[in-house]
Amino acid sequence: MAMAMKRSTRPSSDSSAEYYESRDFTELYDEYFDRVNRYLRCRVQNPWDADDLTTTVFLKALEKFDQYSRTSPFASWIFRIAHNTYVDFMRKNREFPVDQDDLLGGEPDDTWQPERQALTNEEIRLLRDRLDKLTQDQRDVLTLRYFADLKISQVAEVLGKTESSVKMISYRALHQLQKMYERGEGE
Amino acid sequence: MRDEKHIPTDWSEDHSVAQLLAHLQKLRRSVPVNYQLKAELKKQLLQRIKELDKERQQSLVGSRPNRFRLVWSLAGGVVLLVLAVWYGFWPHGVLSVRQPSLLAMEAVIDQERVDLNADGTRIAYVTGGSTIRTYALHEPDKKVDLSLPVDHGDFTSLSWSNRADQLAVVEQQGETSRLWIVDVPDDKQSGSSRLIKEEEGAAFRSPNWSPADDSIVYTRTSDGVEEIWVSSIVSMRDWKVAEGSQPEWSPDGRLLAFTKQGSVFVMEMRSGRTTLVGRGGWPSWNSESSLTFTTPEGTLAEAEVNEQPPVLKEVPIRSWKGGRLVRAHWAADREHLLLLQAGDETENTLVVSLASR
Repeated sequence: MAMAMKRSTRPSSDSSAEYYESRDFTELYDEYFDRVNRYLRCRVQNPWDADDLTTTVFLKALEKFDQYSRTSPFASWIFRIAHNTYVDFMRKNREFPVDQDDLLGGEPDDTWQPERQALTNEEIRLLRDRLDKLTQDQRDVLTLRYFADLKISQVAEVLGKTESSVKMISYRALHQLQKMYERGEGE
Repeated sequence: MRDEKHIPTDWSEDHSVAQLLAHLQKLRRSVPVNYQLKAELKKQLLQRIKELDKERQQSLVGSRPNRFRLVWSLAGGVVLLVLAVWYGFWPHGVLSVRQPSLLAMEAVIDQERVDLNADGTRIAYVTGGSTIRTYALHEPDKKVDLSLPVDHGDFTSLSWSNRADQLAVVEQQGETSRLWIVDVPDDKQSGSSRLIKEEEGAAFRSPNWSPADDSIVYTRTSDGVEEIWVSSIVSMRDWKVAEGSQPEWSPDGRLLAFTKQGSVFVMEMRSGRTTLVGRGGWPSWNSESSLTFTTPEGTLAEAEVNEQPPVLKEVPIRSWKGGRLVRAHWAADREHLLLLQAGDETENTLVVSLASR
């Protein structure tokens, strides 16, 4: 008889054969909202669009939650939805032009994290300009790896690539990005 | 960051790469998170979870017998066949009144209180000020009344969505205006409603759905100033797009038609460029580049907005018995047209008819 799956309030390591995600949707939402919102705010210029996309991601996730196997990491599953939603959005090219000052600033409410004050909008803009000079694969890998904070294995799962391929893309992308920083491109 | 151990040895020793990784980590932490959205979306998700639970329970109770469904399918097929044969004899593209005097409404202010669904088969209207009634046009005896959780005010405007069976409804209670979304109940789902926006000291009117049904554009009047606002029903954000009233999105979402000071304008959403179309009101799109509107003389005009200046022509309506046209509004299929005509004896009544082409 097969061994019963281990259940816990927190998932075991995703590399474990006994991985099981037992948390309900709202608990997972509480944990993953920030990462998804940050990821989309990094990828989409207009923060309103990024927030709309974040909402779409979690509404889709709720409707499809029955299809989530729970034996694989929720991070991979939710970011696959987030990434596909972003790709669909870019394909439809629905972004309206906005004043670039709206990129991170200009929000009249006081709901943002205090850390945002520590970084100038210019640094983010500069990074986005430099990411735009990389290939689509490199941009996808770097943003999923460093802005969605996914592991290499999870990035591979989201993008449908092998881990070694993701490592290589990440290595080359970082190398190129580093060169751009050294040369001061876009400044 | 964890990647330091995945980078080849010769490179990980490079101090500048370590600096880059630290910089990226710092940037990630600095991207702001919208915590207001997080709280609002959680409420929305909890509401949806309740609805899904309810739907699951209903589906467990059992569905109707297959035989019943078969009879309905056959009946629907026969109706479709009859309609196909009937419309086959009419010349295509000519606008004709199909169902005259569907409804009589009490006052001219009721002109926003009636609308057709996406395929022109169902009508919804406000009766008695605070009841929303809907019925299929081929079954006028089977009327369904919808209710909202809070029904102290009067419903002043309503609009069908383009895809799902949803209505955007404006409720006015004293100085407070509310914008609701109401699911129209059918065999599969029970009716539910969601409050999208509430504001004291302002009056909302003339809601209209975006092509993807993810935003609602509407008129917001405050201190006598009419403005056009958009509310996203996904992120719950709202923003002003122009001054004017009676907004309507083009089918592709590229253009917004609206009325200002007795004239119809079209605004390109991407650039904000606005073009005067002509004197009149209640613009309504009959294709992606063409709209109709009612003229001050009470006739229907059509404008090709891709031409500069827009080319205008009067639209003849076959079987139209005359009378002053107050409003004409196309269903989302752009085939069915709701006509609101001022009553013969007194201008303070409205007669609602259905035309199609």
